[in-house]
Amino acid sequence: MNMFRRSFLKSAAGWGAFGSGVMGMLGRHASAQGGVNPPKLLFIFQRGGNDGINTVIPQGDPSYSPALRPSLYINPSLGLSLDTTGFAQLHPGMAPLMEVYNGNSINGVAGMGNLAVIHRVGYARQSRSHFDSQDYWERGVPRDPSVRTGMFYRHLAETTDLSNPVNGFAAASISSNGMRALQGDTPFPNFTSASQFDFLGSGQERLKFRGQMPSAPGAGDGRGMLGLYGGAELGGRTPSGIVHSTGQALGTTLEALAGAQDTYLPENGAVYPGGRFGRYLTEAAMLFKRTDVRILGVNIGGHDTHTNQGGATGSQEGNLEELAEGIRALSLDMQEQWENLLVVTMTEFGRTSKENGSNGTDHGEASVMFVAGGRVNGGVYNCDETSWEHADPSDPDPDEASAMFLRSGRYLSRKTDFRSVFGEIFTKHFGDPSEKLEAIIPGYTQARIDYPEEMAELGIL
Amino acid sequence: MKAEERHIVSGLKLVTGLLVGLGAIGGGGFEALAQGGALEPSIELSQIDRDGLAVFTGTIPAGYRHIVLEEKIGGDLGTAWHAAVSGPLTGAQASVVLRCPVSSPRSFFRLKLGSDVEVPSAAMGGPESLAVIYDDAGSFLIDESEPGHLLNRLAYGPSPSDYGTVLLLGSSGYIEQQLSPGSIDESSNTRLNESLDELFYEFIPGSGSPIFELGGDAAYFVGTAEPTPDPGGQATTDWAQIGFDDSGWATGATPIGYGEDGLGATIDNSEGGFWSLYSRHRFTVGDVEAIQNLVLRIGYDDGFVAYLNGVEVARANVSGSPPAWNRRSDRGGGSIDTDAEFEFNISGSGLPLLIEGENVLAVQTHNTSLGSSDLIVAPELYNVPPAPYRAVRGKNALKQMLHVRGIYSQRQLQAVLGEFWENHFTTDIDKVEEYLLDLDEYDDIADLGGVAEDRIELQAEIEAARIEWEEYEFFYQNALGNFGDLLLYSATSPSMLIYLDNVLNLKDAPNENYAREIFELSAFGVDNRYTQQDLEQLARCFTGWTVRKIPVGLKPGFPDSARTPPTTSTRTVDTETAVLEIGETWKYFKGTAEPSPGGAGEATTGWTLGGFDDSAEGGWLEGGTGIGARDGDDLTQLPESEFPSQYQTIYLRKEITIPAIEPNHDLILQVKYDDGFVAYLNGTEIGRSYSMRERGSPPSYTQFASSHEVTGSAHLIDLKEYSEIINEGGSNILAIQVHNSSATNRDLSILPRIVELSYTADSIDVVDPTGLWTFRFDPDEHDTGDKVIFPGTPYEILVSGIEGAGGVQEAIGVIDAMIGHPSTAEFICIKLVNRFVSDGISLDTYHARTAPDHLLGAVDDAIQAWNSTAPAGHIGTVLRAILDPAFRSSAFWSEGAYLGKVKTPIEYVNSVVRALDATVTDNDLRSRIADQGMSFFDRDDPNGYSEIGNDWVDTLSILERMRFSQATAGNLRQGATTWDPLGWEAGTFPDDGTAVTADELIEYFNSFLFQGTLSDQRKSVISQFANSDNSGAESPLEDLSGSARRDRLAATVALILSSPEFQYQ
Repeated sequence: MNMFRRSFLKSAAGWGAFGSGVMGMLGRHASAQGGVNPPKLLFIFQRGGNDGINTVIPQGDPSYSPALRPSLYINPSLGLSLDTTGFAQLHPGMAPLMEVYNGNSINGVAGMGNLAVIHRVGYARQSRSHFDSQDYWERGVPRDPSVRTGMFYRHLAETTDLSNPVNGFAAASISSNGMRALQGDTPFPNFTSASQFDFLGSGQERLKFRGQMPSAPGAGDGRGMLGLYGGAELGGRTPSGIVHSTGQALGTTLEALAGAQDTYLPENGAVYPGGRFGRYLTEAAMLFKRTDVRILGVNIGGHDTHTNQGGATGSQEGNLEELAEGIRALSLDMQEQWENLLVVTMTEFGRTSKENGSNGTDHGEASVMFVAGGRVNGGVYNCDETSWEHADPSDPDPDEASAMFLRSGRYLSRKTDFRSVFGEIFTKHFGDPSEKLEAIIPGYTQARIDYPEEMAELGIL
Repeated sequence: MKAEERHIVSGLKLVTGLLVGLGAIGGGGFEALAQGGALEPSIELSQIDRDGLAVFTGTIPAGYRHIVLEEKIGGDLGTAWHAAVSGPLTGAQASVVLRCPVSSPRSFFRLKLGSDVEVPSAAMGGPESLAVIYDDAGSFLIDESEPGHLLNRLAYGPSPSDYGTVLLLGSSGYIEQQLSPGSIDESSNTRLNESLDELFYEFIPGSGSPIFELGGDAAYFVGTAEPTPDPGGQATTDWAQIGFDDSGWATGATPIGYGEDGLGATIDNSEGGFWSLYSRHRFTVGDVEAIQNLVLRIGYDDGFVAYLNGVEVARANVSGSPPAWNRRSDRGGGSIDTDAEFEFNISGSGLPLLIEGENVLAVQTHNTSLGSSDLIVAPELYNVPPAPYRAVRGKNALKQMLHVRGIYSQRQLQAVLGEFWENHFTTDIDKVEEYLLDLDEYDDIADLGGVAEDRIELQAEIEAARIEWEEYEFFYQNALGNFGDLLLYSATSPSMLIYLDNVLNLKDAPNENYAREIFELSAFGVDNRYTQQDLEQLARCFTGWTVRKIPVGLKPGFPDSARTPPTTSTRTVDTETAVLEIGETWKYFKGTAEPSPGGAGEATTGWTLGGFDDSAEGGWLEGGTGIGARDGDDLTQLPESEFPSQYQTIYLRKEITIPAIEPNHDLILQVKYDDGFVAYLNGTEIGRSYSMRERGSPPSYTQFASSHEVTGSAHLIDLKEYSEIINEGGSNILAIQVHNSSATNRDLSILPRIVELSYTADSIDVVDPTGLWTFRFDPDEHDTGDKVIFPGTPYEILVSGIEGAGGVQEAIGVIDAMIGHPSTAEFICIKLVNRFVSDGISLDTYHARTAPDHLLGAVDDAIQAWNSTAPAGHIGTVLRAILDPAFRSSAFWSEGAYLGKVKTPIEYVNSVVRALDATVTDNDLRSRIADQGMSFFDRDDPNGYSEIGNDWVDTLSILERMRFSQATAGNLRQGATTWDPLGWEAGTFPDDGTAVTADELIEYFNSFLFQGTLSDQRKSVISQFANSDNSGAESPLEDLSGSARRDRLAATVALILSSPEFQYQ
C-alpha cells in the first residue's frame, strides 16, 4: 500500500472517529486481538546498567565475597533466599518482590507462580556503551544499528493493522520521550500524565485548536491542528513523514485519553512507591483498565553506579526497592487482569564483578531480568548449584572458575540471550505464530543456530 | 598551446589525465583546450577573472575518491607539475567546479583522478577552490529561500532584524560575518546586554571584615498591618528612616523568622500566619572613608527590600515601592533554595548613605503565602576590598543564558555552537553541587544546621554554577576555535572531573568512567577504533587527576590550567611551629573536690582564670604532659593506688605566651584525651569533647564522660576564633579538666599541644567562598607504570610512566594525539553535518558508505578541512567547508536541506520567541524546553542530547511545543491560563494595522518564516481558524476588536507556530 493510500485510509477513518467521539467504543470491538482480556505487557527499562550480581546474589559462589566487593558485599544473613539452599538470594531491598515471588496474595495461587528471576541475560559481543546497548535491547537486534524499529513495535505491526487508527493507542510510553522499543513508522504516543495531556485554554478553545482531520490529504475541510497535520506532507522535505504522523497520533491520543481523566484510585490495597516511577506505574494500571492499550513502557533510572553503589543499603538499594514496591503494587492493583498481564524488566548491561576504586562498579555484561505475571512459571533461572559455574569453597583461587569472571576475566558471562526470553513472550504470551518471530526479532533464526544454548527457551511461560 | 596526456605519476593512480593550456592573458586572448578523447571526464575553463583566477567546470564519472588539479609553468615537458588544488570524492558521479589562481600566463593545467582514499596534498583545497556536486543533492535552493535557510541553520530561526541583516549582507556575506563573531559589534544591543546583566552579580573576592554580623539584636515588627501608613493608609518608608522610634517594636537576635533551625528570634506564626516582617538593624561606623565596598549578604525567604538609612539599596522577589505590608512575594523560596542571590554589592547606592556614628539597615521581608512553612531574614554587612568580578547568579541564570544569547545576540552562529559544545561535553551541575556538599569541610558546616546549613548549601550552589559557567563560557568563546582546546578544557574542567568520576580515579583504585566516555562521547564515537584495553590504559593515565580550590588571583588561565596544573591541595601546610609541646610542665590538681567551689560548693571556672592560686598549698602539683594513668603515653603517672578509686577527674592549668598570629596562619590547640575534657582559655570555654556534651558548664568534679573514648586523632580547636580573648604576645592561662568515663575505668590521659601553622601561598580554606575551583594533578595518586594505547595500530602511543608533577603529561599527550586520530575527525565532522545539514548520515552509514553521496561528500570535505590546519580540528575552518559560502553548492545548499530537519526543543523555543520578536522578561524558558525533554546543565546522562531532529518527534514533545506556542502568543506565563502582561511582551506581531485580516496575518508569517512556501491547504485551514469563533461559526478576524481580537490573534499565531512547517528548520 503506498503512502498516500495508507494516509487516506487513516485520515478517513480518523475523521469519523474524531467527529463522533466514539473511538473508545469502536476500539473495543475493532482491536485486532479482541477478546475481553487480551494479553497485555508492561516493560520496565532499568536505565544505566543494573548490577545483577547484587540484585540476585550468587551466595553459593565462594567468589562472591567481601574481598571481591568490599563495600558492596551483602551478607547471606541479610539476603532473601530464593531457594531452599540459599544459593541465590534476592537483594534485601527487594523484599516486596518476595510477595510476588511466593505468590501468596495473588489469585489465591500459592507457590512460585508469579515471578521468574532470570540471571545472566545478555547477548554476544556485548556493547558497554549505555546508548548502543539500550538500543540493541529495545530494538531486539544486537549490533545492527541499521535496524531502526523497536521490538514491540514490530510485534504490533506483524499482528495488528496499524493503518487503522483504532490501533493507534495499542501501545504507549509513559515517558517524557518515546521509547525505542515502540518506535516505528506509525508513531505510538508517549506522555507522562493522561490528565495533563491537552492544549491550553477553555474546553471550547482546546477543541477548536485540536480541530479535525481533513477528509483526504490536501482536502480543504480539515480544521485546526489536525487540519494541518492531516494535510499533505511537505514535498521532499520530510521523507519519514514522522512529524505529520505524530501530529495525527496526538489527535488519536487526546481522543483515547478523554475517557481516562477521572481520578484514579488503586485497588486491592495497592500502594505504589512515591516519586516519578510510582506515578508512571499508577498511570499504567489506570490505562490498562480504562483504555484498549495493550503494551506500555516505563523507565526507571539511576543504575549507573560507578560510585557509592552501596550494599544492603545505599543507592542501588533505593532503586531496587522502588522497583520491587512498584511491581508488588501492580500485582495487587491489576489482579483482575493478572492472568493476562506480563511485567518485564530489562537493563542494558550488568556491571563489573569486582568493585572499583570508588565503592562502585563499572560497565559489564550479563545481568538480571524479572518477568512477573499470573501465568509465569516462577522461580530462579541460571543461578543455582548446577547452572552457575563456581569453584569449590576450598579452592585457593576460586575466581578462575566463577561465572563472574568467565568473560574477559572481569565480567559475568551470559547464559541466556535476551531474545530467547522475548521469543517466548511473543509466542506464548501474545500467541504470535512462531514463523513471525524472524520478522519480530530479525536475526532470531540465525541466533538459534549460532548460540543454541543461549537461545534455548527457559520455559518461563 | 597544446595538450597532452600524461602517464602515471608515482604514488598516484592516474586513471586519466587532461591538460588545459592557457594563452597569454591580456594579449591575444586565451583558449582552453580540454582534450579527453574518449575519456569520460570533461572539464573546461569557464572563465578567468582579472585577478588571474581560473574557474574550471566539468563532470567526473563514478569510481574516484580524489581529484587533483595540477599546474606547471611553461610548455616544456621537463618542468615539474605541482598540485594546485586537491580534494576528496565519494566515488559517485559528480559535477565539479575548481577555482585556482593562474601563476603565470604560461601556465598549463591538468586534472588527475585517483581511486585512493588518501587525498594528495596541494597548495589549495577546501571550499574556496573546489566544489563537488553530487547528483543526489537534487536541485539547489532558490535565492528567495536562502535567508530563511541561513537563519534556520546558522541561527535560532528568523527574527525580523536578522532577516534584514541577511538581505543586506547577502548569503555569503552573512556566513562570513557569522564565522567571525568578533567582527559583530554588540555594544549597542541593549536587549541582549541588559538581559545578560540580569544573570550576573558583582562578586567580590575576599570575605572582608564585618560591619555587623548575625547574632546581633534587631528591632522587629510582624507585618499584620502597615507599620507607618500615610494618612490614606498607604505604605511609606518612614519606619526605615534612621530617626524612626522603634522602641515599641520587639527585639531579638538575628536571624529572625520561623520554620528554620538556628534562629536568634523565633516568631509565632500559629495564628494564621502573616505576610511580612519589618526589621531594623542598627550599627555604628567609625570611619566611613575606610569602607571600600559595602556588601550586603542576606539570607532571606521568600522576598525582601532592604533600606540603608531609609533609602532602598537591594531587593529580591517582591514588587511595589514600597511594598505594602500584605504584598505577597513574587516567588517562593528566596535565596535558600532557588537561584542563588544572597550577596548584594551595594557600594554604589549604599556608600554615599553611610554616616559616621549610628546607621540603620531596615529590611521588610515578605512571604509567598500566609501558610508558608518558613520565613527568615538574616542580613549582614561587610566591608570588602575592591576588585569585583562578574559571577553567574546560579543554575537557572545559566540555563537562561542559552536563551538570552540564542534569542537576542546577533552572533547567532556562536550562540548555536556554544550550545552545541555545551551539549557535546555535557556535565551535570547537580552532581557538582553534591560533590561539594559531600566534602568534609562543607559537611561540618552543614552539620551546624539552620542558617549555617542553608548558607553552605547556597554557597555550594553558587560555586557549582560558577564552575559550570566557566566551562560553558569557554566553549562559547572558543566555539569556532580549535577542537583540541575544547577537548582538553573539558577533560580538565572541574565539572567534568567531578561529573564522570575522574576525581575518584586513583592509582590503586581506577575508575574507568571518564576514560570510556572521552572516547565514546567526546572524541571518537562509540566503538570507533578503540578497545576496552585502550580505555583501561587511558584510565590509568588519568589517575591523580582531581580538583582543588585556589585563591581567585592565582587561578591559572587556559591552557596553563590544564598543562601545568597545581599539584598541591587546597590547604597545604607549609610550616608547623610548636607553641606548646607535649612534655612541658603543667600545674595539675586531683579532682577529689572542686578546685574552686562556689558559695554553695558548686563548680565554677575560678580555677581557669589568671591570678588563681595554683600553689602547692591549694593541692596543685606539677608534672609534664601527658598526665594520666595506665595507657603508657603519660610522662606524669597518677598512682594506681589513687586513680580511679579516689578521684576520676583531674584539672590542669598552664600559663603560656601566645605569639601574635600572622595573617593566613592558624593557631591550633590539639588535644589527645581519654575519656573526656573541657578546655578554657583565660576563663572562657573554648571546646570540649563530644563525650562531655551536656555534662554541665562547667562540669562538676563528679561528672563522668559519656563514653570510654579513645581517639587516635587529636581534637582540634582553632584558637583564631578566640582572638578577642587571647592576649597576643603576652601571658594567657590555658586550663583543661579531664574526666574519666566511670569510677572503675582504669586509664586516663591528656596530651595538649598548640601549633602555629603556616600555609603555602596558594592555600585557601576549602569553604572560602572567594576561592575558585581548578584542575589539580596529584602525583601521589598517579599510576606511574607504563601504558600502551592503540597497540598494533598506526596510532600506537607508548606512555612511559612519569613520576612527579610531569605525570599529568601522560593523559594530556593522549588527548593531544586524539585530535589527529581519524576517529575524532569523523565523529565531530559527522556531528556538525548532522547539526547544520542533515540527519541523514551517521558514523555507521559513513563507514559503510551507504549514506547519500552528497552527505558523504559533505563529511569528506569537512574531514579534509579538519586535517588542513595545524593543529588539526579548527572548527571555523570545518564549518566553512560545510557551509561553503564561496560556491554555495555543498549539501548545505541542496533544496532538500531547506526546512528539512526537525528543530530540537531549544531551537523551537528560541525560534518562536524570535519569530514574535518578543521581549522575554520572565526567565522560565528553561522550564519550557524541559517540558519538551531538554534541560541543559543538569542532564543526568553523559551523552548530550541528540542532534538528530527526528529523535525529538513524539506526541508529548509535539504537544508541549504547541502549548508553548499557545502560551507565548497569548502572553501567558508558565502555568498561567489568563493574560499576564508581566510575563511576556509577545503581542507585538503585526497588530499595527498592516495585518488586519486573516490573510494578511498569514502572509506576514508566510513570507518571513516560510519564504512564501506555505501551501494553499495550510493557508485555508489557518484562515478558517482565524475567521471562526470557538463554536466554529464564521466570525471574520477583522470584525473583532479589543480582547476578542487579541485572543483570536493569539490563537491563530499559535496555530501557525504549531504547524508542521514550523517544526522544521
